[in-house]
Amino acid sequence: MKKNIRQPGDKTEVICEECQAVRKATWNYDNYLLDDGTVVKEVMLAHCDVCGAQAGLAQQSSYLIRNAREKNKRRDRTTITLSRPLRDLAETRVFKAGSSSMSAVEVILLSVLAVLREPDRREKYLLKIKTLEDKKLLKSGTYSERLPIRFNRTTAKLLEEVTAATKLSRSEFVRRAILLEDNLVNEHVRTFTLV
Amino acid sequence: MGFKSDKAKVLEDLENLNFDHEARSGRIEEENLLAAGVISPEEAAEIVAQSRGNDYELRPHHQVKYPPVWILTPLVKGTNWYVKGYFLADQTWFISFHPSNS
Repeated sequence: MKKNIRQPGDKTEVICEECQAVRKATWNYDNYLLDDGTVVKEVMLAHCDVCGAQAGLAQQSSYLIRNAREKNKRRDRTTITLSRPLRDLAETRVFKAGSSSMSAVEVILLSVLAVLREPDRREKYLLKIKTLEDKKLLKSGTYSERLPIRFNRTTAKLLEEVTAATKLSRSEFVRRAILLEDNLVNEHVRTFTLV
Repeated sequence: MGFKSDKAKVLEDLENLNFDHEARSGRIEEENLLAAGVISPEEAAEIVAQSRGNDYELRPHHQVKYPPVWILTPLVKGTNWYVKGYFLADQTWFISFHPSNS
């Protein structure tokens, strides 16, 4: 394994696109430019000994490319507020199903959104969410808990659609999502606890 | 040189991490998913292992006479892959590694 880690000054041979020839090349750390303009720093690259072009990319640096791509796919964030009892309920629901790398509130919100994503179910479930107003837990306690929620663009768009349709704020929608419990939602909760 | 020996060499080099990538200009994050860290060497090996004789082609490199470029186009779980590379300096150099419809 050790011999396959390129180190500064190591030599190789590679096809150089600039020279259009097989050239000797020397490995060294350098900045690498991705197509979207992102500069990835300290990538192990083989530089052509004749023209100096970056001709080879070491497999040991793939994680740097991956990290740069992940950073570019930054997730949208929002902060929601809810009461302690509602948060306790969310944690209990998710704990019952398993555990997840996401927060319990995120798991439940994504589970409800997963159901709402299906057009034939959307209307029915939006009505369920709207008619949760009398639930005691929705009214009890102060909104003392502030939680960051992360989601990708698709989820953000869906959340925007359903909050507009219900005329609820994001926080209120999440609070009600925590109270929405049936077999279909719970099935998604179980799936997200595998993540 | 030939399908069986080239496939075996690629698999051996993936196993031993005896490979690197052509640092081609442009969309490496789309054209070489192995270089971009989207797939692991183990996953790459699983894909290459699915190659059959008729998924193999040997062509001259568009810029140099030697080494030749091999192309593998295995079908894996309903997805056609496009894997292109060459052997030089006793190792594998990957040029492309992506689903063929991307």
